Amino acid sequence: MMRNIVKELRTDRDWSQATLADHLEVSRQTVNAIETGRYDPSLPLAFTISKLFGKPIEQIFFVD
Amino acid sequence: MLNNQYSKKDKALAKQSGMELGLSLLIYIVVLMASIYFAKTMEAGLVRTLTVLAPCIPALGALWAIVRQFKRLDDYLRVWLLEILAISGAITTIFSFSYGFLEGIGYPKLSGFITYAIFMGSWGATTCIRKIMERE
Repeated sequence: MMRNIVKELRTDRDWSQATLADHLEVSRQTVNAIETGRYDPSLPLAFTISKLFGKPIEQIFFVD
Repeated sequence: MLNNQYSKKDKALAKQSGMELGLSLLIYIVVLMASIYFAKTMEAGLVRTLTVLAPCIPALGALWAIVRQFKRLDDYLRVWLLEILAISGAITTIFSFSYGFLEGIGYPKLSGFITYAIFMGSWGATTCIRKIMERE
């Protein structure tokens, strides 16, 4: 199963899910699904997340 | 709670789809009323049949609005909605053939319209249940 640290990265910046969703141009529901592990983002979205937080994809998303 | 706010994408989607679907449904209702009014006084024939079928044209407008909304959704929302539609379709199918068995033993015949009501009802119910289940 894939895990991620998106929630930690978001809360470090004191952003709400809606703020992160605005940065990623997705719905808040999508951010929530990624953070709770219900949804693995598409490759383009994973790259956008990686670029936004300035970290390589493999440091944000990893296999448990 | 901050996490429950809507993103700009959410607001834009709701506004755009609300306008397009609302306008389509408004036109549909106007055409439907007009077709019912005029069809009553017409004699049976091709013109009356076409008049009764006239609301199908604005109904296609609603379909167009829904397709456009689907294209605007992000990947997750599209999968989420398609799963709900699949579940609603399955519920409708199960109801349809189960009631068919009951009709075989004398239960009253139902109008085909009931499948639409079952589909929309199960769509709404499935959406509510999933939203509750996925609440943080």
